[in-house]
Amino acid sequence: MGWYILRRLAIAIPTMLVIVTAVFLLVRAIPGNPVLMMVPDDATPQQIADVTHRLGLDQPIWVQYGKFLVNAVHLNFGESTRYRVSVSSLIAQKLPATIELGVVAAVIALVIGLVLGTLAGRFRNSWIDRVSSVLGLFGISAPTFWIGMLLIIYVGGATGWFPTGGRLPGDLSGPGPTGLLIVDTIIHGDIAGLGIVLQHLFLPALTLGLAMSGMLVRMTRSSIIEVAGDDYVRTARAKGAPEFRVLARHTFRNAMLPVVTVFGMEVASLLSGSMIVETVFAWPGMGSMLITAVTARDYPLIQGSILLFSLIFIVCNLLVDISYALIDPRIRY
Amino acid sequence: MTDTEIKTEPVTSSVWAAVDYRRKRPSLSAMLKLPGSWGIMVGGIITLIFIIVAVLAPVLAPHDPYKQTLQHRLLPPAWVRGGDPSYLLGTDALGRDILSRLIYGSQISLLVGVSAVVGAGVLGVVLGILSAYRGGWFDSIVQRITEFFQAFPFLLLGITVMAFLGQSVGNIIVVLILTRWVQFARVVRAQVLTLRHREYVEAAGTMGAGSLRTMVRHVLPNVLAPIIVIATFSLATAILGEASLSFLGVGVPPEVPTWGSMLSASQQYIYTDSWLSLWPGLVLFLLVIAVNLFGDGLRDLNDPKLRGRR
Repeated sequence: MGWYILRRLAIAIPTMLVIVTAVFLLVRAIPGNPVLMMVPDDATPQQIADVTHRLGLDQPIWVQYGKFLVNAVHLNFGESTRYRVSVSSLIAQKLPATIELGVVAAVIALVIGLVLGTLAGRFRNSWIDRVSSVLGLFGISAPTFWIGMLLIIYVGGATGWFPTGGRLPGDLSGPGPTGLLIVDTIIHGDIAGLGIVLQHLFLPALTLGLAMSGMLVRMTRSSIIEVAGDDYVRTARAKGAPEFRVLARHTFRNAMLPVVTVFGMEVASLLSGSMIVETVFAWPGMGSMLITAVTARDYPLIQGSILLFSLIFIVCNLLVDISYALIDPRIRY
Repeated sequence: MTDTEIKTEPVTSSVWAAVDYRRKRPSLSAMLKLPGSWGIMVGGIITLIFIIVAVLAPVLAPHDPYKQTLQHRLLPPAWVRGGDPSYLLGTDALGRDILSRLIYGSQISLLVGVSAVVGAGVLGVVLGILSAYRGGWFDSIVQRITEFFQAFPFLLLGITVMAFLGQSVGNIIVVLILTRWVQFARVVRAQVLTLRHREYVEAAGTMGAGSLRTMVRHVLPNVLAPIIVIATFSLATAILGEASLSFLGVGVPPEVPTWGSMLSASQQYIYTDSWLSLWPGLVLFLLVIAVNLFGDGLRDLNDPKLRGRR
């Protein structure tokens, strides 16, 4: 197992290097002089030269590349031109919100996908099967931002139960220490606070979860149907195992392998989706920060966010691969 | 050798397995027990209607999509109280006719979607064939690149490229080509690898056909079916991709009417004038679902594993 993880890590490092290099080159591909975007409009040539020197842009490109690599390894992405603070501190501030949203959304997607998919596969052609197939097609074809807006109008606005913007009411801030509000409120034993946090989290996480669940429902359904015809399931039933046990122990577990693969592929769509959902629900996370940075042409912040998103993505893929190996004992390390 | 002698054969199941992990996903028509051609028919007709609307936009649109009439701003649909019959679906915050903007929006969606799919298809097919034929280091490099692009989050790549290269229709198409060519390349490579040692392909070579001629005349026709299926799924994804980027404000320049940017602008009025958020999402959803249905149907029709099952 150790060797397998090491080997996967060995693949992840060059991938990250390619991304870092690509971002480095893209920054250099920006039309025009990036320094001109960072200085005031009335800057003197001397000021421009100073900023160019401070950013190291007057050095040969391979020296710049070397420094960029060293800084990236130290998670030092420079200073945001918009907020005038270090990019890494901004990221540290926004990252927990994105993680919390992503994890809760993934749990919602898994619950909807597995429960509905299993029932649809077990009771084929029943009404629940039809519901799941329509939901599946909806999840694949409906744009995430539209699902979010519909939920805002018809659930958030209509009931008034769920706030549709931000993580907390405007005047509150998280109690710390982790920045993950669910964890923090539990640590402090603040049940009322936890309720407020979950109320805010519900609609964004549901939007993201619904978008992910479409593929999972369909995949789980077909996988359950495929496995249900296998010999060991018939054997279990012939031995007189109760139906629930047959489904839970024999069918479900074996049907999970392809589902885990699809779930792994969906991690990428989870990251993409989080940028959209954060924008729709004014969720103060990495995704909405990246979009703001793009609009403000805050290149240090764009660089840092993209590299961090890529890192999250690579780590998630690594975890999925490892979990795949854990679930299927036939995979040798 | 005349055209009639070119042999085509059914695409193997293993190639369909590579087409898409969605292959395993049963199609909607199969689940609802509808006849197999149902999806192709309905999906095809709706898609066709969208294409006709896009082409005839200048004729069909009742108003100029750019024209602002501020005294008519935020009108509700005509059948709602306060609506104006000359603005069937109402107007936006600048008093522009929503129906006309939706009609012109279909031009961008289809233009970007189709260009991206054609570009991705050409790039993917060429790289897939070269990869299978050359093998060796070239093949392994192309394989690593496809793995990377297949897994990398689309929006992150899209935002990255758009952030650095700037917003334009051309750049969106480039982004979509970058993310969509992979599927084509993988499937074509897999199919070419199984076909290149077939007797009729080798016979063509023996008879003096150059490798380019062999490829184009004897191998390519046999890869066409999966290419068409991937193209339809890619079209759906590309249309959604353009809308997502435009929604985030990093897609098509803001003055151009697109469904994504209409939705983005409607957010401000989501509680007071919610129909603004309804229409663009609805047409986008309808087009994407139609293209997906069409693709599902085509795939089932061609998949030897599914043929005759229903």
